[in-house]
Amino acid sequence: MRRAALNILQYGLLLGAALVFLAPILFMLVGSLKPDALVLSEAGSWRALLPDSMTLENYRAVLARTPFWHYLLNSLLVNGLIVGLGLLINSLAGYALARLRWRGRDAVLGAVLAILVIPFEAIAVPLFYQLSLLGWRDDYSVQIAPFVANPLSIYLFYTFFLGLPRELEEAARIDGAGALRTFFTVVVPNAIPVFASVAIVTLLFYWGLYLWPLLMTTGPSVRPLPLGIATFFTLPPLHWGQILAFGVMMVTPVLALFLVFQRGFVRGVASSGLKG
Amino acid sequence: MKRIAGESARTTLTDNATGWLMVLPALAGLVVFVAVPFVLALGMSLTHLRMGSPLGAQFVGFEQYLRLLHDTSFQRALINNALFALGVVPVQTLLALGLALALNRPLRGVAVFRTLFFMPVVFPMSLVAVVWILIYAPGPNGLLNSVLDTLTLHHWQPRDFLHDPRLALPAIMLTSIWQGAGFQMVILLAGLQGIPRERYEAAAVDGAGRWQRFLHVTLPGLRNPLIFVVIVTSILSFRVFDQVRIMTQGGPLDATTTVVYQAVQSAFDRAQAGRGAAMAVVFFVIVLAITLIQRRLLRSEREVR
Amino acid sequence: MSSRVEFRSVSKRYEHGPEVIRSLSLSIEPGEFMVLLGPSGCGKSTLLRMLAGLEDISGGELLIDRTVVNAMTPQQRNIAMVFQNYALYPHMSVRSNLAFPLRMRGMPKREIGARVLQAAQTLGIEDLLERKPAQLSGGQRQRVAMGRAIVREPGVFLMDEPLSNLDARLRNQIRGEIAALQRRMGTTTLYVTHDQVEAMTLGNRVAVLHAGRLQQVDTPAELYARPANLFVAGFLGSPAMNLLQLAPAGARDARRLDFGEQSVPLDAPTPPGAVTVGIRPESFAPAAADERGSPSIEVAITEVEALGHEQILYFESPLPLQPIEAGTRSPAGLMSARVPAAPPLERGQRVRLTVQKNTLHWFDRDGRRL
Repeated sequence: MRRAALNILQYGLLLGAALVFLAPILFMLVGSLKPDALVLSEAGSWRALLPDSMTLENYRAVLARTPFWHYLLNSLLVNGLIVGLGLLINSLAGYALARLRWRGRDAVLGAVLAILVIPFEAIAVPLFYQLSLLGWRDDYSVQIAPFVANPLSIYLFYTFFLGLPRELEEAARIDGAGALRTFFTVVVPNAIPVFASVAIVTLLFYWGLYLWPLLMTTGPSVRPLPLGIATFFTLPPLHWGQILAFGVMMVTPVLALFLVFQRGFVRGVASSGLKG
Repeated sequence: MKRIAGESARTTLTDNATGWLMVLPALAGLVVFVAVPFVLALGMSLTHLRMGSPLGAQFVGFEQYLRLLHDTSFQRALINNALFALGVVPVQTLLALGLALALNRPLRGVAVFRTLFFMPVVFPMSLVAVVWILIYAPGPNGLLNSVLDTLTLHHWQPRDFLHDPRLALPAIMLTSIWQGAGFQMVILLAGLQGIPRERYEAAAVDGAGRWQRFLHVTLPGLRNPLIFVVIVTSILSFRVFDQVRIMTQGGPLDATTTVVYQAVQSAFDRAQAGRGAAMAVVFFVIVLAITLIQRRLLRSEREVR
Repeated sequence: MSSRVEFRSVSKRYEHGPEVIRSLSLSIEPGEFMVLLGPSGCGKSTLLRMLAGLEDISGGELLIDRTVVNAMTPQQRNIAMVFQNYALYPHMSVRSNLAFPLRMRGMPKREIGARVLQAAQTLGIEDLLERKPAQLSGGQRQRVAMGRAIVREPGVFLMDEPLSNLDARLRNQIRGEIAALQRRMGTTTLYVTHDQVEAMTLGNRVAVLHAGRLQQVDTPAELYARPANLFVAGFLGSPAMNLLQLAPAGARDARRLDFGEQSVPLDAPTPPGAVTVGIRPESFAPAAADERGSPSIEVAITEVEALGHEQILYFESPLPLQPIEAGTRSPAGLMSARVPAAPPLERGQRVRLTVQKNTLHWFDRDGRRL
């Protein structure tokens, strides 16, 4: 009977917290489905969360007035390449550091760990200057290249490969495969969890990246979604309904991915955290 | 060459060329896009460099840093970041710990809650900032204003959170906590689930009640994840930019300005590259100091199960 | 200060699950070393945990010193437990680990210090007091776990397979230490294991469990000499007892035991109702060369295991073998016999074996001893 009381308490706390966490999300969703004028005026009432009527007008307006699909495409392209290329080169580096012996390995490992400490914001400004001098701005590659090599990813791969049992690699070596071939044919297929974790952690961070595209791009031709929403604010009057509709559409891809691969997301974040 | 733990001579073969080949792309990327700008920042901070041109590159020694010392906006930014850390770290960590503990008891539907609490983490901060601008809308119609009005039984005066010098920073902190708690929660939950049940049972048999088990089994078992979470959140508190740029633009009257915001403003809005670089260097030193101090204070032990 | 434990028709079932323990009754006398023995899944750990208060009791009563304790929390029962994986507190030193239960009971610091030192000396770990568990070997950790249990001088010790994570030599050594310790302290002990040797050497009495039911409670000698049913008969003893199905009562001579075409005269006739006969491998002996007319059977050796001090012969069984549910099974339906090391025998050889008198076990249709 004590157990039942504890259960009720647990559910109660969780429900209360859930309401607080859910409210802004619901607010955003519902607001996007309301006529523009009502979003702000009804924000304080119950109708903020339970509307009287719903309409898709905002979504139509956003798609008509802003190059949403273009922003989405930009985000997909940029992030896809950051994650994809990143998985390739960071895993290779992590493996080389974990499993191969070569001169200077310890120095390179030390360098990676040292660079790990440098937050992006510390070098954003000088990098901005450095690349602007070279005239390298306002295209896709400048949004991708700086982020492909990632010390955190390298570290995660490194610790994972260290912990992998050696038998498979030894068998491959005996069968005559070189290091690279061993890596691709034997190690990678058995390292899916870490690849998934790194992909997820990387995607989570870069999908919403705002500072860098702000500095390096102008105009919608190459800008990603996070900037798309900010530009609403430069053109008064504020159409809140449309802004929220944009927001909903902007978050849907990653949210959908998250809901489908929930366990993977959670495990990816957790394992990166526990390794740290 | 020093052996890495777990390595044995029989399996690690000498692969000089292959090793370098495999590590080169990533290493090159790190050097070009992190190491070089880092060094560049050090150099730039010693000049009066302006954006977009190599002119103004005279060496002026530590003048930029001296100017920063006397710059009230920058001082305010440092204070704000510190306040941010002092406020967000304990609140968000306690919240995340509470949620993780509540989720650790197996109960039907627990997974749904876990998904829900983690969802805000998936949202880009720029979007979160926009939605919360609405939530903080001034006047009795604003969502937060009316909620507080209901909670205080109509004794609440509506406030313009984002334009009130005393409420703007807490408002941004609250937004950040909402977005970040799920991330910490997931890590703490994984840590909790790593504590073997036997240890709780042994403590119970030893006479420990619920609170004592929390004190002597749960918290010690969570030591490493907690340390990690505190360090990461502290560092993130100093990296705050997106919310400030979108919600308050550093105002009102520098009430919410942060170090990164100041650096970007200098270099990007006002084209003062040298000054922005100096701020970036100061920022890096602070982050480094926090990391090192916290790591030493809370030395994380490795435990063997 | 040792307690009496009584399980009265105790049962346990999990939600939506079958009964894990069925109406089990067992008394443990004060100071007794009782072993719970059985294959995995038989419920022995569950029973132990019910005594600890870590599992709820679905039915029946559990008494400690004549008090019904079903509703009491582990903290309230005067028991101590040694866990299979030791469950030491990794962030505390050995000293703090040992002191913890005393701290929880609010004992004054000076007394705690004395007790901890005493327990450490008893177990020979006084040099390790300042170390952390991560710095200890498996055997040392095991001793610390025991120290934490004895430091409180409780009414009952509970031990859940404490030796199973140790290597063989350490196991033997600590097994002896546990026995000596319990004799000295005289505390009632309930000890769970799946290992027969531990059970036979440690227990004053052994309770054999199978599928949640108590099969037999007796001293080790009695269990071995007079197993109450087929399960106990087949579980104790290595190699396992040979259990043979007899021909139906009408088709056999009650005064002889048939082995296919051969037969052996019996001293006492086959009891009526007997369906199975059990012969321990050590009941066979090689027939002396001149006893050609004596009651013996001739068998062809299929396998020989030469163990140095004896040999184990495996041969085809003339009668159908009773399948045993647990315990060591002879390879592929063969019977086993233990014979002296000399003369060395080989596969394919034929030997004559006598069956020792009065060493046959008879079982009825329900598997019970006759």
